Amino acid sequence: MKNRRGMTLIELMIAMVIFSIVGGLMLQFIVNTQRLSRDQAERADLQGDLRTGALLVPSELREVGVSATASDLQVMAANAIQYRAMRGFGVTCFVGPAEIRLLNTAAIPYSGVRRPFAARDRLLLFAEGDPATPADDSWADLVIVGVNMTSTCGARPAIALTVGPFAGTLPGGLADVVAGGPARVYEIMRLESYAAGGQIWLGARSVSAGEVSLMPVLGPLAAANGFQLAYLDANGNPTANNLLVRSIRVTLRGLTSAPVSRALGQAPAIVQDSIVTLVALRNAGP
Amino acid sequence: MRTPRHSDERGIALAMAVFGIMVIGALVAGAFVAGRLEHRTSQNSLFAAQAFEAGEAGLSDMMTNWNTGTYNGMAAGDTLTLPTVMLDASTAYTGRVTRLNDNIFMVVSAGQKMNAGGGVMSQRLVGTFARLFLPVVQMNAAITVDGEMTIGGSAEATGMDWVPGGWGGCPAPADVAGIRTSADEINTNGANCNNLDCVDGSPQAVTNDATIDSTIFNNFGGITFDELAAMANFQISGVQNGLAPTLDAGGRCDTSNLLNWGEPWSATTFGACFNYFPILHAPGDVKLNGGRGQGTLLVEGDLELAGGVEFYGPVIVKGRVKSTGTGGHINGGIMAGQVDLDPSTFSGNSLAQFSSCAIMRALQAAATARPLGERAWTHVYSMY
Repeated sequence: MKNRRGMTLIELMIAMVIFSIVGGLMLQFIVNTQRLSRDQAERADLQGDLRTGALLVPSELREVGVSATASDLQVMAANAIQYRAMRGFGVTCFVGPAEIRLLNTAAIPYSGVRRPFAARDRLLLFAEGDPATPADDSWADLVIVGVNMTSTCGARPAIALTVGPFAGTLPGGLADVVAGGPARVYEIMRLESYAAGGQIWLGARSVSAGEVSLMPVLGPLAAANGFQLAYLDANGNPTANNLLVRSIRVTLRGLTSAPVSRALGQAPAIVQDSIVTLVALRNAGP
Repeated sequence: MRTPRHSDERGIALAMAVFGIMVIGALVAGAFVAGRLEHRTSQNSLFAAQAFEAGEAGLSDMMTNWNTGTYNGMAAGDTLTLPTVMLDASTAYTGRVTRLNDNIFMVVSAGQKMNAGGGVMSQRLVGTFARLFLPVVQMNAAITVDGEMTIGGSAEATGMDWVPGGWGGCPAPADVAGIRTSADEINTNGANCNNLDCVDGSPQAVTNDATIDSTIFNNFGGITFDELAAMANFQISGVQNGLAPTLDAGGRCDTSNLLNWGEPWSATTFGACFNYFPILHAPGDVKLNGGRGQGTLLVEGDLELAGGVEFYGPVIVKGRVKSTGTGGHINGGIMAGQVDLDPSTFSGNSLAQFSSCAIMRALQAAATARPLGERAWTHVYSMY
């Protein structure tokens, strides 16, 4: 009898059925895993966005100054805020009517998120007035019209800032500003939620630099209340008076950029998450 | 019957199994990597927040425990880096104080979050501009006394404002009265003081001064006598013999020496003590016998000057001031409940010399620092 090797038709059919079942299960597993992975990435993006917002917005607002007579808060809306944003500080080594020089040595460097820019930034100079009393201490506000990063004060490296005329109300004018005092560089910034591409985003623009369009910072956000600000006084009560603000409650409600699975039997949908931060204004008071 | 051979067992089961394991492994690894990335990102945010809070704690700590003896003696432009302070097992701050000018300081705190090996996981720097709050002492005469006083012999009191030799950064001199008293007369003793000839000033002397009361002995602007006393470098009592500046082995001013009250004389080998103005508090009576020193002297009992002791700065005495023997020289000003500079008890070369410069420098050293009233706090982007 001839040696008949191989499989019978029945064996082959059984093998094919088993293979189909196993293959199908594996495919299902892979598809599910891929979807889960994509969903997780979406959720991670959303949480990352919120985390970024929770770091960035307080970092911007924390240095805002508010006193009994002046406030850095220029616009206070529920979904927008315009303020003096501190960009750096230094110590004066020369104070003239048209030029201020800031030390930039290893021991006393100019310290900032970036270097000062003419036309975009302004300068606040500490004016001590009578050294015997803090009651007359104030800050003189000047526009920066020129920046020389490689200037000197004697033999020490310095940054020379050409400034516009002083129009403030110091009793002695700029003579009240003594060399060796602090100086701050700032620009006017605006944070605001806005719509683009059918979605809501948190945007920022430099008002001082003349920027008209908001640059996206994070998003997408919930349409109605994705970026919400509440301005609170010393007692934690809402206030519309920019001289009384002591803290700002920032609420961010973010959305995933694509529908994600939620639970078995539920269709994928856009998911929302939120974070609330209370920013105590360090320079508000007393 | 034929025995089966391995070569007959064909199929793809093994390949399928290996492929399946690889696919599942890749998916698990991918999920693990994504999860770990998310975990690390969250952890970094947490570390940054912890470092920031450590920095804030450090800033608050430095301002609350302002070291008048050390910081106030720094020259403009000087920077002092403080030892790292552990807040718990994994968070710490390192402080840095820079004196910008006579009154303004930059205080920076670098908060750190560390791992178990001490490696820095995150660092955040925060700072504040601080200014000295000088006690406001109403010392408008060489001697201000609430009550009776006697002056005589070779003792002198002069309100002609004097700048000690070699001292800089002083206010413009402004002459004041030699003596101010709440009493209706000043007693004199001996021919040298007839007609108050031993008193000089502009005006020479003021009696019935209604501005002199217990308030000026207890309240100095925003700080009280007791608060100032609580900041004292030393508590003193009994007899302080031979005040003299001293240096430690490293050539620094030895501020641990009870008899080192700084160096008022310029251009000496003790120049390291030239900016050292301690606050000295005597809860009871005290006698200064010889030597020299400077600072702010607070006495709740009586003060006796002897041995030609020289002191520079404000002297505030709630009891009496008395000179014996060769007496003493006070360059700055004296405020006292009663003063007796009677030559019948000492060989009269006591001198009360008004010096706004000595008063200001001593009070600057005694001043506490507080954040500027506006825009004090700042993020710091590079180590100061």
